[in-house]
Amino acid sequence: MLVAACIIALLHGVAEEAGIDFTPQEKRRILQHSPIPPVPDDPTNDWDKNPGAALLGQALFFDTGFSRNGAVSCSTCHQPPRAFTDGRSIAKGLAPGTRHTPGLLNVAHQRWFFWDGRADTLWSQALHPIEHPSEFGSSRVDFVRRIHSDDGYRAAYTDLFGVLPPMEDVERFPPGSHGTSDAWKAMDQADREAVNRAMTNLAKAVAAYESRLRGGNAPFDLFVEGLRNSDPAGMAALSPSAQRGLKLFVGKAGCRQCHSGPLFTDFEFHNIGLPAHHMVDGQPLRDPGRFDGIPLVQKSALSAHGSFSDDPVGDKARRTRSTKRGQEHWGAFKTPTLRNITSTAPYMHQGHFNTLMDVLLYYNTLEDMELQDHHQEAVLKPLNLDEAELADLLAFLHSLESPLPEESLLQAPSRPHQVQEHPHPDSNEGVEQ
Amino acid sequence: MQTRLIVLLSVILLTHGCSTPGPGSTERARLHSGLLSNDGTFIVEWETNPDPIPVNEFFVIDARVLDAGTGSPAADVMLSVDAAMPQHRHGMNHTPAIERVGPGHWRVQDMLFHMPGDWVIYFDISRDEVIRRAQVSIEVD
Repeated sequence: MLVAACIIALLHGVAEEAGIDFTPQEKRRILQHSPIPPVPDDPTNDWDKNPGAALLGQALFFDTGFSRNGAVSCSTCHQPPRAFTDGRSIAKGLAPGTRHTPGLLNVAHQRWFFWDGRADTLWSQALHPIEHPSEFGSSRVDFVRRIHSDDGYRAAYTDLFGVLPPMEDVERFPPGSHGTSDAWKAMDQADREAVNRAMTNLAKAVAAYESRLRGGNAPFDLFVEGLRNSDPAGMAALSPSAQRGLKLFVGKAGCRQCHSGPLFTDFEFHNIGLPAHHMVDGQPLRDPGRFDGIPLVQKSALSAHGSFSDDPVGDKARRTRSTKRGQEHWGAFKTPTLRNITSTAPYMHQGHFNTLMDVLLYYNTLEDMELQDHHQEAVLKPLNLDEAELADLLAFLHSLESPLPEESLLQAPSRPHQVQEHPHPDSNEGVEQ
Repeated sequence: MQTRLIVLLSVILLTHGCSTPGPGSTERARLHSGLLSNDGTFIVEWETNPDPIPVNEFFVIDARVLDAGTGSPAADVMLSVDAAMPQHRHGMNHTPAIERVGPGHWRVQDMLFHMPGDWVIYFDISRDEVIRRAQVSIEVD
């Protein structure tokens, strides 16, 4: 009897050590989450895989000289050590904005950009901060003029895109001319077109850099590889607790309803009933989210269907035009990726929650959830998980932490026009065959 | 009359065999080659690419509308296609792009089931200002 008990105990211990049993359905669902596929081509950006463009874009990304006060760059909010977020509830460039900074790891896989999807390409996203009063607070004319007046930038630009407009002519290109200013509207149409062309070229360079920001394999990816190959050593990358959390994730917790695929996001928009968290002038900020994002992207001349796109009649352009706008989009925000989620606190579009456990507790009870009317999604129900289950789910989320990209991509390059060094992670450059 | 009855019976048998919801229903897309409109006027033959329909990836539907009575292509009708998740009370986020590629034959692009779960695809067939609907339930997982 004692021997039998010992054997049972031993077997139980082995089972715990070896991990959790997954049903065929759970296994099939788990395999959908890894590996992350290669970065897709962006037909709207002819330079998206160009190493020279990526190097120029990297220099621009870290350069504070394009902001009105000379102190704000893309990396002010998108800080590499924080998985390209800033640790703030609400982003702050020249002034506080209205939403939390999203991360940039694996960003080239996204279908829409910003929390409300008001940009449909990575390069058109990069245009927005230049003139936004809370971000760079600059103007497109000043932006292109600085490229023109800097030997390194000018050389890099002309090597890639050709001649810049004659920005030294301040009468044709008045300083401070942003897209809605009277000075801009008074400029010659061809000059406005030339500035917009240069600005979008530079944004495409920034996108080329950002498309290289791929995370490495997380413990979860090693586990999935082990699961796929029935390799216990690989599966040991996840603790039993994290494996139980994974089982919940693809099962009764229903997380994969929205956090699907290798990036753990459906790239789309949902209203999860969060009350306003950010105050503006003493009042809670009512944010329409995707409801406003749809007309913005559809009307923008700088979107995939605009004349500055390199594929204005392609799939992306058509899909932007055909995007539906309904009442369910009011207050809907893009599903964030869960990759590297432990580095991107606080959470949600207004930084509602300081910790991941706070997030889980919200989904667990939906306490303080704003009532949704009959036009809105009916997806969310309280999870009602117990403490042990919540701890398991949290352990699983921690297993999604990937190594950052190579160090050379996490800082300003020494010069903006050295075309070399960083073959795209998904290209064969420099790879021995 | 006899031909019409045989076609109808065949369609009923075919659709009946494919209409039971269940875990294996991702495979039903391949089986729904004959879908009868609700009033029995039309048959919709359809297939998807890729097949089965993946979660959150764009797919294409190739759809043929036939007169149920004759089994021949319904060349004089218009087709619109849409889909929804009734349980979630939302639809797709895009309006599909529909292109006629032959008599009674359409190619439907930009279909996207962005969430796993139960979806319904609606085929609305219009002739002489009358719209007739055929629909099918699909589970994607």
